[in-house]
Amino acid sequence: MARYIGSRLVQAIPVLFLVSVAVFSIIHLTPGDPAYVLLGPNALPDQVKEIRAELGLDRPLPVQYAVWVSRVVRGDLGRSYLNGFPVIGLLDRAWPVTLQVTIGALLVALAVAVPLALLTVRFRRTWVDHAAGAFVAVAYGMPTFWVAILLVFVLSIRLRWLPPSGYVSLGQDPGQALRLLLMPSIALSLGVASVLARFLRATLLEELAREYVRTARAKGLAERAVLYRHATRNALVPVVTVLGMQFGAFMGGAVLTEAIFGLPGVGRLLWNSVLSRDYAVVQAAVLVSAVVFVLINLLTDLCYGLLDPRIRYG
Amino acid sequence: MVSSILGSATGRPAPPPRAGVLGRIWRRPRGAAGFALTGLLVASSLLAQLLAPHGPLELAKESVLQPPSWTFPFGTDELGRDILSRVLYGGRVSLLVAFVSVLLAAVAGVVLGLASGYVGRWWDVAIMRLMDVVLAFPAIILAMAIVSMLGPSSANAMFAVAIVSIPVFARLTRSAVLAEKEREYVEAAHAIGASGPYTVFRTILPNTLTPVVVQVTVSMGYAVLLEAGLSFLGLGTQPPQPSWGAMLFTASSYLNQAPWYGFFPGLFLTALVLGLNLISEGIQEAFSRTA
Amino acid sequence: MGTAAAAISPSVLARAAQAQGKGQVTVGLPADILNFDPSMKQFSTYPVIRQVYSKLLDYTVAYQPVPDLAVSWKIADDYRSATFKLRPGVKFHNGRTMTAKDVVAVFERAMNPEFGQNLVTLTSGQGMRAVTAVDDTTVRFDYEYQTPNILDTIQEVDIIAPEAFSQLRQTTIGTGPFKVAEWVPNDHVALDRFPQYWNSGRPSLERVTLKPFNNPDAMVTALQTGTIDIAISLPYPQAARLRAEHDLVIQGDSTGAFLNNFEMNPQRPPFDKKLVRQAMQYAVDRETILKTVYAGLGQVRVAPYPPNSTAYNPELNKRYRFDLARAKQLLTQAGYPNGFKFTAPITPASADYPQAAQILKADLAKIGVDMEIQLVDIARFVPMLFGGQFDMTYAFVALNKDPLTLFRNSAYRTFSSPVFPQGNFPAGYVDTINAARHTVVKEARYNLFTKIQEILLDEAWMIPVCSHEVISGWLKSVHGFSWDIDFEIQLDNTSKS
Repeated sequence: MARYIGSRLVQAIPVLFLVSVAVFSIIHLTPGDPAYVLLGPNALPDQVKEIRAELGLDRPLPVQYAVWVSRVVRGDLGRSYLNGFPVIGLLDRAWPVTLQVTIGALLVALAVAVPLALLTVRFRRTWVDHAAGAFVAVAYGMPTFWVAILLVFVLSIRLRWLPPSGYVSLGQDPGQALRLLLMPSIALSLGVASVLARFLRATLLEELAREYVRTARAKGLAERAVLYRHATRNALVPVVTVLGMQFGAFMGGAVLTEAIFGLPGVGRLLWNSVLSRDYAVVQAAVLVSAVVFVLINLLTDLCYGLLDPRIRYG
Repeated sequence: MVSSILGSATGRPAPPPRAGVLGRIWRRPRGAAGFALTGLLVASSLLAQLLAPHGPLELAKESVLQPPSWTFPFGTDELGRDILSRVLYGGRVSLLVAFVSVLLAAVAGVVLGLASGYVGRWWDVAIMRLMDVVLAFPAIILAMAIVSMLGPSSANAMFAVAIVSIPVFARLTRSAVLAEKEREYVEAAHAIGASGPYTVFRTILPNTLTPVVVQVTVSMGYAVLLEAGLSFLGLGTQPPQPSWGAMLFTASSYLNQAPWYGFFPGLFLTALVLGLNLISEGIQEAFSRTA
Repeated sequence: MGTAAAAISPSVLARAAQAQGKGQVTVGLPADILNFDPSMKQFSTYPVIRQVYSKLLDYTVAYQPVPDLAVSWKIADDYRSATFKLRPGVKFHNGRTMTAKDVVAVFERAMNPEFGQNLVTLTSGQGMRAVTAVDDTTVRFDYEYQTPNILDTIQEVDIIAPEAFSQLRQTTIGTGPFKVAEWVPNDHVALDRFPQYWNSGRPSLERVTLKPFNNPDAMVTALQTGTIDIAISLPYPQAARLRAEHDLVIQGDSTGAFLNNFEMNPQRPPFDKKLVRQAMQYAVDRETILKTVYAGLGQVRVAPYPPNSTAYNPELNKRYRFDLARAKQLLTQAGYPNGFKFTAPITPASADYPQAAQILKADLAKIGVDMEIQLVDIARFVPMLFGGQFDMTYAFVALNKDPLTLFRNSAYRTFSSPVFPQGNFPAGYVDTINAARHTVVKEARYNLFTKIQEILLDEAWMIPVCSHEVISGWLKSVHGFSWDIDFEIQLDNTSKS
């Protein structure tokens, strides 16, 4: 087991290295740089040269890359080119927001998908099944940002039930914080919920057909007990996969949702930084999200091992 | 996308596609509905010139942000243009980007996956790690970065969406190839002295096609949304060309005043993704082994 | 005279207000501030400037000078120097008393090409040569030549404590009514009342929070629901509607100082031909752009200066009007009877830019001219602008204060011009502007500015479209909210009931 983890982590190194090269190159090769953003259109060319020199942007790209990487491996993610704040500080403030929305979305997704899947299995091939199937199909197709816009319009502008945007930390004002997280969570959850519901349904059906279930039924256990106790546990394997992948995806930042709901998370940080060419922030944020991706992958694979005795890592 | 990856990862091989493929899908209610819906949307976009009551770029300076009416069935936008016409023409961009980018991604991904799975050894490691690098970037950010680098336009958005979609196909193909490699007929082919490429093209490839086809429709759904997202961020279609994503973006500033503005482009977008997904489900149902 | 009020100290009053939730005001902004460095200040940073900084003098909206950190000043008869008497006992946010030496240090930084950034053009670029501390409370400014707009050059500079020079990105030490409590980028700026502000009795607010909104619609909703007390720069379509709401005050700045223009690049064919540029002047439907894009909140302009400017000459506005037939005629004369094609990079940061461009595009299409709009984000656009890599674009210019203000804009200035990179300005342009820089006689200046505008209208590389108001909205419970001539908002006299 330890050897498996070890080898996976070693394999992650070249990936992260390539990611660092990729993000550095792409953002530096994009026309424009932070000096122009700082000074604006009425600046003089000399001033731009000054600022670029101050920010170290006049050095050759490979040198800049080497400097950046050497700092990163020592844990120094650098400072924002625009406002000089340490990038770690900016990320520290952003990731809890994204984390809260991610967890919110996954919870809502589970709360919707699990009962839905159980319902459709219990009443399979009836109208309940078909109606749920239709709902799931439509929910999957709705673009997150459209759902977000609709939610804001209905719940905030027309009904005035919820505030339209903004963020408050859970520690500060839990009531308001939850009210502000509700719509973004719902918007993000629909896609996951439909995938989850379909998955759960498929795997539950598969499980129910298996040997040991038939044995349990033969022994006379109630249908419900059979369903809940045996089938559900084994159905968790694909659930874990889906949740893992979605977690990784969301932590990368649901850029559009954060933009609409004014959430100061990683997505919005990344978007603003790309637009203002804040190289340090973009590079650090993408690298961190890559690390999260690798770790989540590893965790979900390990969970497989725990849940399914057939899968073991030597 | 997830279901396909998982399906192949658990090593369930698909039966080879038979003649009458379309017929089998058509007979399934989901597949039929999917074809109908997608077909309707494609037709309405292609026939936009006939169906649209006004030109998509026609400004009616007097009737800015009007609610739906007989002259303007979906209302007008902030420059007085007919939203219905713009939605119809806007579909062309979404459809074009979806089809072209996913086809490009599929071809590139399948080739990479074949090379990876069949040749193996360090090719495999190199290609798969490269795919990991692409996957490690959040999709919209990578697409954004590529388009920012190349310059905003529909063409570059297509390219960016293609790049982001390649890894899925590569991984999928590779799993399928690995599963097929073990099969008897491959060994048999080797036994009679068939060469590598022959084996690949005549035996392995046809069997990997089904999951790829399913994935194509699923990826198209993602591609449409990604393009809409890029336009939403101002990185895709340039004004005044209509595109569903760009319209949604502008509409979000007028939610209070003109709620109909954002409603219709989103509806069409949902319908298209829904149609594509129903088709993919139809294909899956038609070919998968039921438990 | 209110002995009772005098007996209760301002800080106690402030605290009482705070206890009732009235000591706090939240201001919604359309964008986050860039940093606290006034040498780089751009429109997005303006909301925070007057809160943390003061200047030696400021201008009211009517261009009337008001003493601030200086109590009085005297301009020499030859307009080559000015002496300012500083207010004694002004404290910086760190408790230190401001002296003339600090003022000198600040102005020297502003004039220094290495650190002054955008302030260099406004100070030494307008003739400022040296600043000296005559004594602890007196500062003298010396100029290269007769400078008619001396006060402008001094009003541009915000006074910072020299010890803060190296940290201006994240925080600052000024002398303003509020001091920086914290700045969480992209989230909010929190300012606390500065108890030792020289104008005792102000401010009454304990805390000001500035919140940027990525989405202008969200900012409007936040104002309507009372989540924020004040919103700056409301989107135009909403402004008219919001006026009807009972518990909101909606007001625009009516200085007419913010001008939008289309800018052509005379280095790029076919805009290298004067006739073509003049044709374009007839192709812009100024009235429609004002009505559709800016909800009519502004004034149509053909010549750049607003009616309240000393350079305003109403005759000049008759030079061009919307007339597509005439435009076509001029194009044919210029050798383009079938029109032509060109590209226009436009920054989408402000929603009005792409909208105005699309209206022009639709009109140009009617005379065979194909305008290709490209949305280009600001980071990419500014280098394109500097390098002259555009055929046409759309931009805004601030024209407040002295008419010379116009010439700090890159499209109008007489040095390092992206549109005249080889310095091949139209005949008489540079000389007339320089003459206006050095003349103090009002009548002579008026004639010079008329001549400059005639050159601008004849050479026609800039197409003024209209001025737009900046609309702000606030809850009826907010009082005393105002702004100065630069649209730097002022909260020192603001309170909530």
